[in-house]
Amino acid sequence: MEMNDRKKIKMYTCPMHSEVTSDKPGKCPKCGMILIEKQGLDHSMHADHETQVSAWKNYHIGFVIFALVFVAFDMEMIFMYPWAVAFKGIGLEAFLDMFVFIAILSLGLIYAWMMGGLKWEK
Amino acid sequence: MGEVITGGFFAMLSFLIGMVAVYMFEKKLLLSANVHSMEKTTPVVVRDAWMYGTGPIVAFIGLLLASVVLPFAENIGSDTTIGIFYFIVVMDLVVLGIAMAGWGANTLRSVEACYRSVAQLIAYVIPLGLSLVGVAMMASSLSTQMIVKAQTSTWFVIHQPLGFVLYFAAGLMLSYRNPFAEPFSKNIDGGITSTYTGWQKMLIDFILSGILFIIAALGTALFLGGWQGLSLLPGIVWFWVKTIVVIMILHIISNKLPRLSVSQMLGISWKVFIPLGLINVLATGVLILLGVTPK
Repeated sequence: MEMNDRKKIKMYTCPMHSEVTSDKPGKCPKCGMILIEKQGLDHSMHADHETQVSAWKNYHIGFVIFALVFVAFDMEMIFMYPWAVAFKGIGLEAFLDMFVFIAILSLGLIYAWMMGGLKWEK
Repeated sequence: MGEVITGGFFAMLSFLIGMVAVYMFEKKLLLSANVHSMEKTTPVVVRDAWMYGTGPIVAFIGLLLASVVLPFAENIGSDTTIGIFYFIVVMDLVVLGIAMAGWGANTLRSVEACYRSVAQLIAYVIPLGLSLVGVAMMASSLSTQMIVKAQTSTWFVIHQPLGFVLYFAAGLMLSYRNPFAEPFSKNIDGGITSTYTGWQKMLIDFILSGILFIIAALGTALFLGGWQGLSLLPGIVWFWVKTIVVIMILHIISNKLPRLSVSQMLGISWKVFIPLGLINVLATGVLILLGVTPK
């Protein structure tokens, strides 16, 4: 996502002399005070205050593969509920059926994992 | 039919009291998941008036519908045969409402919050559902009342320790509490809460407290024996005491944990919780075949 991609730039400034800036913490060359972190430099966070852009635009969404695998697992879950209620009455046969079912789905999950599908950043 | 409706009505009433109580409690102790934004955001672009206006209301209606199946006492709480399955389905309306609010507001932060809440949905639904399947197998029913009645001799937390942990981990994701609080995090100024004011903002605060209450209440019913306890107190008192203790423990745990990013949350959900959930279903099957069941 856009906001996460931008690196946050930290700038340091002297509390007494605002013209002194540095990109790493230290002491002010004029008065020797410890430099403090400068506020309000992270423009991506305040973009919607200042600009007139609409936020409805194309985003890079990292969870496409997650969403596809999610649909498969969600359907599987729906099948499990009636099975779970009837389980005690049927016994071993129901257990073996579900074992095969879960094994097939686990293979799908392992495949997606091995192919790098379960990664947010590419 | 009449009993189902009156039972549901009283459960909804109890839930509303609980939601307000949790809201007050969190306000007092500053434990709310909601980060209160310091600056007022002014509308700079056109909003989607329908989505922006109805988002919090849709989320609140989802919570009210879900609260109908909470078994506060023997006659309170709708005794429908689809109980916990219905619960999972209607709780998605809460995420839908939050996503609608985020998208409709059309600011960079709120649209980001919309995407994050959808990612949260993808992370929590399946661990939550798998932890409930184990309970349904043990009780041979989806009705919350029947599940509580199945725990007369022993609570399901003893038969379902893994399901218990998974349920509350998914519950923290669902209620946007600390390890999984990215949709409302400080770096996007509280997400959708930064664009709302007045009663709508209060409604969102109520929703956040209400989700935590509903998670704790259903967890009490499914794993901690619900309204069952020593007979010196009525059932509803036992239910409330257990729920409040669960809420406090959830708060303590959530404050101890480090905050996870969206990608870490999705990773932990799909690489740890979902395989554990599948193992939990199979392990429950083995337990039942071996005859280790309540009663």
